[in-house]
Amino acid sequence: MKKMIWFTVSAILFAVFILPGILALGIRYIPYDIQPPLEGVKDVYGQFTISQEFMSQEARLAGIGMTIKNPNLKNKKEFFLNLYDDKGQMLREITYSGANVEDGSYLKFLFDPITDSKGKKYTITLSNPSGDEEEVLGVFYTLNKPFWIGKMSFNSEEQEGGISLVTFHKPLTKLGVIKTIYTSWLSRLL
Amino acid sequence: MKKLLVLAIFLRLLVAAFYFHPDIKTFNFQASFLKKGVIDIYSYLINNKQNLPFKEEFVYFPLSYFALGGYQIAASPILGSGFNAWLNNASSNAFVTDPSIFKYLIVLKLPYLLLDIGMAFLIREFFKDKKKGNLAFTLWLFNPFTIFLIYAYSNFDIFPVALTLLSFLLLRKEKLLPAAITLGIAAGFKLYPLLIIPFLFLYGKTLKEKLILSVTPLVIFLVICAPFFSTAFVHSALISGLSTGIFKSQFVTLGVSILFFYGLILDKKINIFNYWIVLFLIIFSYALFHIQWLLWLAPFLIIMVVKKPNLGLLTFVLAVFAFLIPILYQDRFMTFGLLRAYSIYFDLLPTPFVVVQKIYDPANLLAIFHSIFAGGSMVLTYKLLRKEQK
Repeated sequence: MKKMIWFTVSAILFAVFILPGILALGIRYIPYDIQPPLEGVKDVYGQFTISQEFMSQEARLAGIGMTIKNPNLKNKKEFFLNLYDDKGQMLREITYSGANVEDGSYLKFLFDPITDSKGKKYTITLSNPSGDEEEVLGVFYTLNKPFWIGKMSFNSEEQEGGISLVTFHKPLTKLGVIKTIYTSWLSRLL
Repeated sequence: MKKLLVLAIFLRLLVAAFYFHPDIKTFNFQASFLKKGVIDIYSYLINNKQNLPFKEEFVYFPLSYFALGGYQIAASPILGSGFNAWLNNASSNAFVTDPSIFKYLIVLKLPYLLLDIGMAFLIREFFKDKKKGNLAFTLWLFNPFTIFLIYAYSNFDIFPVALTLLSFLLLRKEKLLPAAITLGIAAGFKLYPLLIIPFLFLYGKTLKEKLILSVTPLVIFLVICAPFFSTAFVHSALISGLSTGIFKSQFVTLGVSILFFYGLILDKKINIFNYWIVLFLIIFSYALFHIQWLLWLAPFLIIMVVKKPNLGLLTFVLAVFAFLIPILYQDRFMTFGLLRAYSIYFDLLPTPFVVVQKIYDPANLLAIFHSIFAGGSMVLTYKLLRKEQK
């Protein structure tokens, strides 16, 4: 029975204090900020594209996360997210298939990190060129955007609000992620 | 023994504070309407769906609502003024980063702790031999399975589980009517204790005993539910997926039927305790079960293992597979999602389902685990029922 007690004590202490640190090693990208509230949808298809300006708040920009509707899972075609710098030069293009997008799912468009992204302005454009009216992709936007999310344009016209997006950044070191997690936990605990 | 108890409580508080399953917020949000004077929660949630931050219906039975809601009223001075705002916060990220979350989790799980420790003492009562009783007591307090089942998964099934255990203890002491009443009260929280009723009918020695044991729990259950009987109640609780899900698998119906006819025709002296275990082994072997359901069986397995130590290894292996099955479901809150109170970064980890998917079909692996569990359960069933024939 002593063995069982030791096993249980060790298992619980491990699960509470050590496991979060070990699992943190598996985190490859860290989000900056939480996703703003989802308050409306813009339907993207054919020539109707959506663009969003934003200022990267961290270095090593490595992805964009946003929530997308694929009503009745009708869209099975390829769609694109393009990333441009402030001079309009395309830096990255990410292709996704509608066949892999569940209605209302949170998608992460991941790409090779941009090392010096901190404080720089970027624009993303989401397009669904082969989709017709029956194959729209709904991009969720927010009316309560944080300061770093800039102008949103739909079909080249400026709109109120901004895409409800999250930027992802490659952590400098794995140890940094572990430290961030334990610091956040302990700061709320103490 | 006191030192062990203190250590056991300490371990439970650690898991209670830091592991978060969203169910605890959902059912406490629903139960919070009791302090606003809402009695019929089923109709209230459906009628006010448009104006509520969470649209889920209340799928449990009335005593769950009153127990959780009543406790919230009692604990409101400790929970503090920010608690209601936390319950109503629909932003999945903001409520886990709330600095008070650890306090809320500990306070909301305190009734579980009381019942959990109370169950350790109840389990001890199942043994005449004091040494074995203490062994079962310690085994209940110090096994990681039940600690995680109760505190990590925020398992309020501990209410009916504790009552069911008490009912079996009363049955053992041949206090049939109190046992039947307790079982009926347990069903007032969740429906599953009523599954034993056909077997209780077989267990009764005379017609009077059979009627006391099988009719009383049903009557108590109906008395508890009667004031709430409405379309909302029927749809939300009585025929919800949670109540009827067990019988979605025809193999469950087949297995339970075989057990019943075996008890009716072949078994001359039914050991109701073993029938309870076998009944749920059948269910977990063939139904797509929720991890929380495993608690229904846990205290009974502890008692069984102490009484029959030769079944210990098999029971341990079955417990491991019983845990592995729901961990493979495509549900973040079976695994890494439980760590969201530490950091929302854990949302970025793929679920075991997604990881397995890269190398093998997770549905197939799930079927393999289910089959292994079913195979082991068959052997355990054979051992339990065969012994009774001697």
